[in-house]
Amino acid sequence: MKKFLLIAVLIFMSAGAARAENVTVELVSDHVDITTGFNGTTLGLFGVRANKGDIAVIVKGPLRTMSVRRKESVIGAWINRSFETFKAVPSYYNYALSRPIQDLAPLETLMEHGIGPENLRFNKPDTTDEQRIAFRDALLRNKKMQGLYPAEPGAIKFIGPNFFRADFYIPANVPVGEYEIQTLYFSGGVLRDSKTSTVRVAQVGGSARINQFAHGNSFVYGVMCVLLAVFAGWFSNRVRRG
Amino acid sequence: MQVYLPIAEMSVPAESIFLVSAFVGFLSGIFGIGGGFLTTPFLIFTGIPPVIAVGTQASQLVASSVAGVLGHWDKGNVDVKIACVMLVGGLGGSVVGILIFGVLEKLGQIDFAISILYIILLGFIGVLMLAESFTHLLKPKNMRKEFNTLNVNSFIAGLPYKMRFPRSKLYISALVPGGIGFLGGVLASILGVGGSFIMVPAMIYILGIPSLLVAGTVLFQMIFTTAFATIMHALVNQTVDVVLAIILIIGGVAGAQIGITFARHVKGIYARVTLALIVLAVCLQMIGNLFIQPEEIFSTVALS
Repeated sequence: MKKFLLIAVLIFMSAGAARAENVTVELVSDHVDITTGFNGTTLGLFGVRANKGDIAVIVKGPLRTMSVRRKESVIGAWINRSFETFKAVPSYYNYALSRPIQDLAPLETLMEHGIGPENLRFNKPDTTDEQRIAFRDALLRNKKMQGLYPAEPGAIKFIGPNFFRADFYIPANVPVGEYEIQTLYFSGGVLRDSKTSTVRVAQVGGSARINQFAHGNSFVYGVMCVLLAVFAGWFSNRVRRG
Repeated sequence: MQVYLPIAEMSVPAESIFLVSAFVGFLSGIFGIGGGFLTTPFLIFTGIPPVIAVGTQASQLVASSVAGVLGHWDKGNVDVKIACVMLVGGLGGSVVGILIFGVLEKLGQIDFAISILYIILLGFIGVLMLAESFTHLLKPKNMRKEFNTLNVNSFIAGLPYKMRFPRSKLYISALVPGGIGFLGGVLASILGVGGSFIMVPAMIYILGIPSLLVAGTVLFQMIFTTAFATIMHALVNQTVDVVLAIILIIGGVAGAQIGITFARHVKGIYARVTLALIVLAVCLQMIGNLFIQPEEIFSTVALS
């Protein structure tokens, strides 16, 4: 009997250990450098799963409070008339799945973890107010049009049976800040394991120095812009006269 | 080629911005206008936030007014005293303009305000220029007379704080050039334009300054108003993007060079009709944008 108990405990412990290591991931790079020539880039992630479960990878940019404005016709002119505010909206969002979203997990789970732009927290069906719903849809549409939210989920690419990678396109107009990348491991529609990594998206080099200087020494920066313009004007006059 | 703007925190197509500023520079080379009224709407159309378009355009205007004023300065065609009085009004106008800009932005109505102001100004100026050009074509001698019969003279003569301006041979209330400068300052900081297209006619027809001195005097005071607006925008809103400014300035300088060469081969009156038509076209475009139902009636902006 004692022996049986010991084996049971050992099995339980190894199962626990296995559960904690259901998925491991490694980012290709933990930073995105925005230089003067920045024209978008790809964010890559490699991972290994312990079993044949499903993988979902979610990338979220820094959260913002967004104001959505609707133009209405006032005496023929289209001007902003109605406003709605949404809190905790990821400035960038992307995701990749190893199987179609409807087969991955029940809707409540998708919503709890914000899998898919339609299931993000700010997007919860907490209201039946038609205006608010229309504005929420407009916000999603707007983000998709700017290329900051995907129209479709990306695919998890399996390099080996359990070795996978996911790639996310980061467009040129991407907001700077800390990006959170969550890798979720599901089996049978239940979340078994998750890993969170962060990527820092920031301006570097000349671009970053200009930005810091403009915010730190605004007055000197303004004066320098003026002096630059005065010099350019003088120079162009000299060229003009030959 | 995409270039990342460090202040706007976005990437823009450098060639198209360069081409537009070169085209505007070309026009300014021919007509001696600043051309901010064409560049700013385009920058906003590219997706650059209005605050940054306006703030950065202010620094480009410094460059174009310095380039423009030097020739007039050498010939002595600048009335420094009038320019200084205008400048006092201009600085006040800039402060007021920047405050109004901030309030309108918070209310989410800055785009509407910019559109409506452009439509009124461009429509007014375009029609006036076109009418004047045609009058000039038909009966050149009567043109000046018609404007001088404007019944503002008796009102202006009654204003207090009279000052003597020897260079222009004027004895007139300081409120007149000050007020014109004020208007220019407001326009410079709200619309990102130099405002010469409203100041020049106002100075000729209301102030009565000799037309030889108009351009030099306006450009001279514009250097300081736009420099002040640039520093204010940089300090208060942090909306002057030096990378964008460099693209605009280089484009403007290159375009102006071609424009000046080109201007020697065109007859002035036809050039003015063309400019009037361009101004009216921009005006109609903005009317269209405002009155035709947009495809997407929703827009979004990050608050924090």
